[in-house]
Amino acid sequence: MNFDLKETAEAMQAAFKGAVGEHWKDASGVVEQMLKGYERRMLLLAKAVAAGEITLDEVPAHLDDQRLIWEAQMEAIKTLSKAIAQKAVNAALDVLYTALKNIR
Amino acid sequence: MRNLTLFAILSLFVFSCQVKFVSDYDASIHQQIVQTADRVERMYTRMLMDEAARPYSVQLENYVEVETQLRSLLRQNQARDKGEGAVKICQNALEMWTKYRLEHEEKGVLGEMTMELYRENLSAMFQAMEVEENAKKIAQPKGDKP
Repeated sequence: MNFDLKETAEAMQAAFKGAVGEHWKDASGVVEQMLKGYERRMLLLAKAVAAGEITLDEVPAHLDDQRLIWEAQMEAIKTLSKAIAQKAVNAALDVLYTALKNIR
Repeated sequence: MRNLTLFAILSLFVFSCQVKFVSDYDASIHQQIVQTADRVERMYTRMLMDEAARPYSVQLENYVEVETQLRSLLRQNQARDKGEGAVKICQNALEMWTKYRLEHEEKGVLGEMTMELYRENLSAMFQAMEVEENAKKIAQPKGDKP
């Protein structure tokens, strides 16, 4: 039986880290884009209020739109994190499976 | 013999332990999101560039089509396993879209800055939808990429 538990655990950890690291930049890029978008929308809202096109009474309803957007963006980030976790866990399980397959 | 049994049990365990946290990527849903987002973008851009396109009555067909697409996306996501995230995004998008439609209907014509703001808000909503669907590609096993 040639199953080295320590070696397998290390390989599983490396596979997990590799899968997370590969997509970490994607996730942080998405968050950065979302923050920039928020800045743009707040600027447009401020301009519309300053120009009198949107009244101060109407501002809370517009801020509620931003809540809807934030909720949607948080859901997107949640799915992105879950997808990265799924890939990482399965990569580690693949390593374990391969190690088990090689038991003689 | 003992090793073989151990191997069989562990193999079965590892096979059944492939985890699934998100629904599978769906290229047709992704395509539908992109097409709907483009239609919304086109509608607001046209209204900003052409005053004749601004009355609610002129945009009625776009409102009908986009709302139909959003409802279709919501329905499809509700039917998917582990699709709660996409459902929430679709519900929020539909709420925002309906609110803007009713305001347009009530006012007849929207102001330019309001239209710019709404185009940006809806674009952010569709971006969330796209990011959410695209993320599922990451979780697809190798060799199973669309």
